[in-house]
Amino acid sequence: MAGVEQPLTSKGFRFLSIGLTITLLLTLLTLAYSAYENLAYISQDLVSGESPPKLSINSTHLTLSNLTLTNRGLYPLNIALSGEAVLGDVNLGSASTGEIIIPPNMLRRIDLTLPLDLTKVYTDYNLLRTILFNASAATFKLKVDVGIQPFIAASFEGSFWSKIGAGLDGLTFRLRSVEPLNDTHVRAEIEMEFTNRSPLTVNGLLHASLPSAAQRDLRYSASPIEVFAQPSQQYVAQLIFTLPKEELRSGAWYGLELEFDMFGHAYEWRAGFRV
Amino acid sequence: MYAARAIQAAIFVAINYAIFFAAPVLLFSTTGLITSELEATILGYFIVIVSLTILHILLKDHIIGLASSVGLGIVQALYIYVITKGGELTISYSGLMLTLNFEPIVYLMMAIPLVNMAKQISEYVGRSSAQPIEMVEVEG
Repeated sequence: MAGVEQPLTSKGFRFLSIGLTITLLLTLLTLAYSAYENLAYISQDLVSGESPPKLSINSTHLTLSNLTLTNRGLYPLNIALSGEAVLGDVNLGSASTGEIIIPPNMLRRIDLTLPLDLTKVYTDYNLLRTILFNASAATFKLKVDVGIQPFIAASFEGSFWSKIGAGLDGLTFRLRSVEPLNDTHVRAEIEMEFTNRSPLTVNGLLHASLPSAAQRDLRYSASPIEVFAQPSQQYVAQLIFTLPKEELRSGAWYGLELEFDMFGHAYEWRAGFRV
Repeated sequence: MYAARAIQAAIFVAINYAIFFAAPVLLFSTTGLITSELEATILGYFIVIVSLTILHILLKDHIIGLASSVGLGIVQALYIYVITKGGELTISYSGLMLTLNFEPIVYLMMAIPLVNMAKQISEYVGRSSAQPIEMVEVEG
């Protein structure tokens, strides 16, 4: 019996199959080599490079600078960095470097500057109250899109937190002096002190009143204080009350009623001091 | 003839074990993506692939052999697509998330069994249509 020769189409498919297999193997090998070379050198540069990348945060910007990448692979390397800063539910700012393509054996320096718009916090009543009276944390989300063109794209997403101190940190009231004004009244000077540990400028009008110990529904008001405290500033101010002599008794605790008007929001609370 | 085919089938079962079971399980275990569900899927597909490979090799000249090779091509391509989740894998590790997208490679990997399947069909059709011609001497 004579042998049957394979049809031409079958031969074509055989060559196509062999070609695809070789292409796949070569692609996988070259990709593995490129990925290994890039990952090994990038991690080495990041950890023990001559000029490692720097991350700095201030009240207006978050900056990632001096990130230097060299493509030691066989394929073009594309990279995009994007960041977002969030405080509570409020997005303070976001930025992206856009797609940066690094051809093989080329070096690129990448910087990412994220503008922080802290004034957005002023519009949120609850968030502002939290920042004024409690320490909180800002979340910074960072996304790195990296790819070996045109075969593989990888996306890394991570976030880190930065502690933000209270705007009115360590707020205390102390009776500094009591001076007689006349036979019936005294001038009581109450010192208010706090440190602004938040990145926000604390700027508002503080109203203080002292309920009478002797008579119900009677309050003595101090002149309002225009508070203006820059970040990291220790703030000291005096509340001046004119009170009947009998209102202040030595050793007693008194409750101040306070109202702080800040950017259209009014925050009310009570604070104690001892005579 | 069947002894030789059985040896060939055994070799292909070993190759299939390495490609369609051992390598994926090792890869997914290393990357922490292995789950009992994924392992069961890999095992299920591997059993189907092995069965179809044996059928295809043992019954090469039969229509069942052709049907097996067609099924094998489709199952292998489907297997590659399913276990690689269409070329998009996500790995989470202590707050960091890594998403890998390698669709072009998945399609290249899927193309190979499909082209092999087309080759088997073409060979079978070619064998059926081109019958061997024998010269017979007719006595006058």
